[in-house]
Amino acid sequence: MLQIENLRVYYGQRLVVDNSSLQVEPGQVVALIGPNGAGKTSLVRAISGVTPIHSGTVRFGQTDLTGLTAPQRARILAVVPQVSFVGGAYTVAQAVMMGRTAHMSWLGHPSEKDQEQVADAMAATCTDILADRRIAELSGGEQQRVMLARALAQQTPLLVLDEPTNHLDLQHQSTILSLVREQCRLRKLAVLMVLHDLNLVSLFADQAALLVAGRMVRFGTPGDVLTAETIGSAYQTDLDVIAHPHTNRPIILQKDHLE
Amino acid sequence: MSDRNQKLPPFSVNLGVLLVALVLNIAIGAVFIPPDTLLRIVLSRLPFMEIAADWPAHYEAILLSIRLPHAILILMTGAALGSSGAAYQGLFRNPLADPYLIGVASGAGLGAVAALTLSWPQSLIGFYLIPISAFIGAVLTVLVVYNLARVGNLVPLTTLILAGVAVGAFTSAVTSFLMLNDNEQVHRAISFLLGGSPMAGWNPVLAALPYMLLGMGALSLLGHPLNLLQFGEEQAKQMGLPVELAKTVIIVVASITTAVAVSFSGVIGFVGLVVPHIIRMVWGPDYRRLIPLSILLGASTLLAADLVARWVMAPRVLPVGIVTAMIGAPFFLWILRRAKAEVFW
Repeated sequence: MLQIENLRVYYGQRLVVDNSSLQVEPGQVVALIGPNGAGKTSLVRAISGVTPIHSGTVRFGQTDLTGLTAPQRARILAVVPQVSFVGGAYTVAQAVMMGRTAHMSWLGHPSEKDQEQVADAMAATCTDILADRRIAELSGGEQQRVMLARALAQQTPLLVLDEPTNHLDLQHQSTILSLVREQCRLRKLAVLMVLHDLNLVSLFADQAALLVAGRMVRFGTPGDVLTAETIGSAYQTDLDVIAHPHTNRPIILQKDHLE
Repeated sequence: MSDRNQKLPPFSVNLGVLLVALVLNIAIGAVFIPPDTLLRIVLSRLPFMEIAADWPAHYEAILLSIRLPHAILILMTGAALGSSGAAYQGLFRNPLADPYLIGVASGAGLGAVAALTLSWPQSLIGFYLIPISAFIGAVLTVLVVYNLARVGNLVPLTTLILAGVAVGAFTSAVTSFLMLNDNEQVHRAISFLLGGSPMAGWNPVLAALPYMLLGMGALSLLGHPLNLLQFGEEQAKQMGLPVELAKTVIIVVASITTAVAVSFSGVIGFVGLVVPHIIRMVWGPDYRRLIPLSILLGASTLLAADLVARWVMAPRVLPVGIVTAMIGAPFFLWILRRAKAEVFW
């Protein structure tokens, strides 16, 4: 289980994550939500070791993640970054193999097991048919699946995604999130993902953690967190919450400005 | 891992090209030595080889004490520039990066020109004054740039480039000042700055060889960290690379390799910029083979350019830096236009 307790993170002089706590169980998808600038990406960067932690603890099981070296941490936690065009000249197979870095020597020569894990991750994300294509030639949805494959190949018990649906259309949003859920259940992964679209949170997450101005103001099931009152005050917007016609899950509607 | 371009086997092609360039570079000159004679002279020097000397006696002297050491120094210089150029481009993720980006060339230039123009105590003046002084200038400049860019334990790459440009401008200004104040040495100084003064004989080859082998050997093993860095420092770290350590090792190894090359051969431009791009366009971005292939193609390129530099205005010898830029630039543009539809960077 991932346990974040009383986490404080500074960006320069500015406090960006303030005394926040949350837990993610294996086999569970937790969505991290909150307005722009609330500290969601800072939290992801802090637990993945990119920015230093000021105080608090980040544990996975018995392991304190804050004290680990980069290769040690990369065997516990994999990150799916936002869609971007970096590394575009590499082929899909090459990029996914780089996810095995923490399991290889620094020469980067893959073993048979590395090859198997890569093939497995690519099959799971339907990126095996793209193996020899260059990343820059792919669509946003395909690129995001490649990044997911790379993170799965890392074979970590903990998976963190930073806005995986950014810039994706409806179909690809649902494809990538279904894949994440499926792998979460199958591999018993603890999944923490930053999501902007609150309706996707309602449809794909087991728990939601609401961060406002660096503070964790609510942590619970989407039904508990996604209320007109809580979300309305967190985002400072008038909105309505209705029930999904088939499943009764909360669906958030913006105020109609054409009325 | 497969890359698309399997039509041209990378290592055999580049080794073949290097062999041809090496043989031509040694064979052609004021006296033409046929390649087969060349081979037999070299073989006759090996133990247990009984080969009758049926060639003119002066061939052996020309080959063994002039052409061969010169070709090997040029080969090592080109190899060093090609591989450190590839490493710098990978480190900075910038297609404009070359081995001189963070001050090696301007520092070496200042060192060499200072050695030429300042009055030194008689005891210090010797055969190695210029290369040693150039090497010290190069390493000191990179150290200054590195420390100016460092913030605590981190070395932000953008700051490193900017500090390199600023310090480079300063050292170049001092170099120009020294040259203007000394009319006697200005020709030799310009020659060094254009790569027109590779040192002659076996001594510089033997002096440079260990550093070159170590430097290029180490660069060849840094391909995987460089691959990871192409996805940005943040992702590289999340995939398990100790990023700051990797960056420091790459900077130190590439800078020392370049500094040794420049100290013995002068500042030769363009090879370190263009060679890695050509490899990348044909065989893809995988640094695990991009670096070794840049070693081979860098060596071939400079051997060819050196041949042109010695031949085009014979018996005068052009600074090889002029040739690399004059022939290299149009050639590179031609390749670039052919490859522009492909994503290579």
